[in-house]
Amino acid sequence: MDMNQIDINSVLSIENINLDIEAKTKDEAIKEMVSMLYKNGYISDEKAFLRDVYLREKEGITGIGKSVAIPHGRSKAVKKTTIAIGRSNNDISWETFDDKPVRCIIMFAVRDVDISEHLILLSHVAKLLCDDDIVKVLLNTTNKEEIINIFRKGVKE
Amino acid sequence: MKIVGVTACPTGIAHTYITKQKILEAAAECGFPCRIETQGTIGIEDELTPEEIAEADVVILAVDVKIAGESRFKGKPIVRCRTEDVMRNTVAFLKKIEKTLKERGRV
Repeated sequence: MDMNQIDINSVLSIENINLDIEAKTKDEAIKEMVSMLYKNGYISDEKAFLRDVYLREKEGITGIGKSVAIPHGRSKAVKKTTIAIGRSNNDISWETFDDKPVRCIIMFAVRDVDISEHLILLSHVAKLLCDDDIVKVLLNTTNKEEIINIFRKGVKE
Repeated sequence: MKIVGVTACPTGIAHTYITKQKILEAAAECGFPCRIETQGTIGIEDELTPEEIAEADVVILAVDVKIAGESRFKGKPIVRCRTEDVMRNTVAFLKKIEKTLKERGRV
């Protein structure tokens, strides 16, 4: 598929980025981000989506290292496949591959029947999270647009 | 050491692609030619060719779920693990495989 045809905007928008989450723990962080997605109309049922996120958590570690975690859920409760980004000023304890805490949480909410180009975008975003330069921006920028722009640029490369 | 491999994770959305990237980057660092196929929710991407499989010294299956087409690797040295096993110290993981293959005279 030609990645120039679909824009990152279709899965990532300013309203689902919070660079100052209040959560102090993993559970609070997941809840806070799910709540943001609910308020913004991306999921229909907070409890049902939370359950599906924790189902995935049980399958294995979602803290991918370098202060980033990627909890995600494929769920009937998702109305529109999307990415939510939450960042904390404090370290959040999480099961991670480098045994260090987490600062930035990238949550994938995936509609259970979605096999569209949205998932292709998500797979590209996942890959980009291995890129140190992108992680640096995620951890430090105060500009939400910059986050969208680095992913936009990244998925087109 | 020529590597081919397959990655696949439970939801087929994130770890499949992160694991692939980690293996490719570590292989590049070690100077190992490497091709990785992904089997995710969006299907099979970068499918391995019979030639690539034939030429490979080792097949890495970093998979948490059952994958398609495993019989393609019959007769090859196979390293089977979970996606998590590759995520921690990928370079050391690859070097350990190389060491084992060398001891067995396979590379």
